[in-house]
Amino acid sequence: MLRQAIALSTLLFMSTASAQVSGSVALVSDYRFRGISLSDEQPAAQLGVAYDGRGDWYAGALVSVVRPSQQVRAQWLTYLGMTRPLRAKLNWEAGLEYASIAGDSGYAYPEAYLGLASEHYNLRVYYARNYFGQGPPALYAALDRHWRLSERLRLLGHVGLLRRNGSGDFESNHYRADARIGLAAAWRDYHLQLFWTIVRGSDEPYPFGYPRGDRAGREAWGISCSRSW
Amino acid sequence: MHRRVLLALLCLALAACAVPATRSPAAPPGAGNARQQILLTLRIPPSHFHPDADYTGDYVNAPGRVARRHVAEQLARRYRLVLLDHWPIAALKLDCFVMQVPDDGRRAGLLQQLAADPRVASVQPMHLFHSLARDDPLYVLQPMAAHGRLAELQQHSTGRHVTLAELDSGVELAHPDLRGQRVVARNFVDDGAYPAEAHGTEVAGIIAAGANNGIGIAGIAPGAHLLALRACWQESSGGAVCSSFTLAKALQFALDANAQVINLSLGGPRDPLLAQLLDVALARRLTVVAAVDPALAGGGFPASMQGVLAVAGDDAGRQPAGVLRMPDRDIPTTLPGARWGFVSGSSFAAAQVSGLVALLRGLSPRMQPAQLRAALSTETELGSPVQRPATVDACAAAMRVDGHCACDCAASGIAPSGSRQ
Repeated sequence: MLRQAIALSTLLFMSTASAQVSGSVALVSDYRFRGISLSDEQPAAQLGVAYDGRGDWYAGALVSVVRPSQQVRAQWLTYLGMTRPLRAKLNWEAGLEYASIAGDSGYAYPEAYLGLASEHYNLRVYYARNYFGQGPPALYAALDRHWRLSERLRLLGHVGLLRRNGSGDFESNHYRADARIGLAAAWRDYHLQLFWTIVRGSDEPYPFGYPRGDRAGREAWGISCSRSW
Repeated sequence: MHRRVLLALLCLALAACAVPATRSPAAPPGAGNARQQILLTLRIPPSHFHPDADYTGDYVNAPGRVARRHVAEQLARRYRLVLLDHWPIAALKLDCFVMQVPDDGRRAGLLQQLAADPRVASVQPMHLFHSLARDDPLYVLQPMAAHGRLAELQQHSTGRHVTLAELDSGVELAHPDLRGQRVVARNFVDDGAYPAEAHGTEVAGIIAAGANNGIGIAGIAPGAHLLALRACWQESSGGAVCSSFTLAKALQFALDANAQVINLSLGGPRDPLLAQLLDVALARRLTVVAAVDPALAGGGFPASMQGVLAVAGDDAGRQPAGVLRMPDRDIPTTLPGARWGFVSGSSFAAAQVSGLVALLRGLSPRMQPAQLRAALSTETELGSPVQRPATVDACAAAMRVDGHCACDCAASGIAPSGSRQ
């Protein structure tokens, strides 16, 4: 956790006058990470900070409440990436992120990603050699898209597919797919989102080494409210 | 139970958000105000990875927009400006802010100071642009109908599947000759209702009035999808005035809507922000048609910009090479109040070329800009001026684009491509 805190504070103070630092605080009714609840279907608070350098580099961090084994913990996600224009409305990007849970160092893992990003959609492939610290590598591909309904309203869509190697005790299926649709509204500095998410694949609710909670719903409605600054 | 109540509250909040936004009121449009305004832009970083669960990634909702607004507020406080309005210009990856400068004669110095501030991507004065219309009716003929054999051309193309953006004052959407046409209207001047105004209605009629409907006139491209983008407002004199900011917003909309032709029946001083946006449009192979302002050197901006199809009246004096000519006196068209009348000015010469470009792009959707310019050219293949009046020859242009005679070739004095010598 100390490393992430140092990275975050460095991020905040390294900004030159021309760089941009933005952030948000959010409250989500259920923190779903790739379809899986990391907050045991309980509300979670989140704090995000993003830094955009004058060039093509960006970095950021997200701290979120998670509840592995009914213990309230903080998950840290720090990332560093670069993006370059590919075509008029399309960029490619590559980056690294590091995820860890304070107090449960066994869940820490680095992940690399490569993707295409535009204003309205993005496609990314993530690779983690030691997904959630459970040993076998995992590959995750995700497509996110949003549609503008009005000046303030957006319809959001997400589909993702996770492939995990290895042969654990409870793995009858190496694939897990998740999808999410949502309706997002913006009002001044606030964003409100209503979403529905579903996850399918493999027999067990948490076969891929995710931090496990007591409840393990495969489908969920959720809401989030955030304020940007 | 609590969750259901929470969901119900959220749904109510989302429904409330569906109501059109009421932005902070912009300064009332008017030349006096605009002269005390500046346009300041901040860079929008490209979309990229964000782990936040509610991140949507677009320029309107991304957290960075709030951060940029705060930077603009800091700049306003530091330089004693008043922040009036803002708008993302996604095509340039710039957030554009309108600021009011105190009336103490320090605008030039402020521009220099702001340009040197590393947070600022660009800063410029707010420019004003004027419609290029005159008011001296003489003839009762529609030039394109008489000389351009519009009816014959429209047997081959009506501009269907072509989207044409008219950046102008408001169009009377309920006008009998425009009702039923494929028109989408947006107001970029203020938050009020979309009004019917003179210049916009006149230009819209020339381009897209209904054909063969038994009333009024025939638009040159009645099948075109017209984006009636109100970026100008009508002054008490009847003319229309636009600003750098309103035009930039409308141009961004035209780009987002994948317009293929942009009509700018207006002129003014060179504007860096608009020039950048037009460069983007031209790079995307949009056809930009602009009226020549005879009172300004080089025809004024944007007509003087490279790549833009500049259009002058057929009786205009000596013009730079490449400037197209079209009749611009006593052009019959639609007027507000469900009326018709005659208008004059290079605004309407440009509108005719825009309509013709829509017809040509309907004939040949994959046509390259150079092909289009060559088709509209009044020079012969050897480069010498033709003996005919040097106005755009619609039939010859259609033949050059399509390779076939859209009109009576014998009457036109032109030959299909297959029989050229």
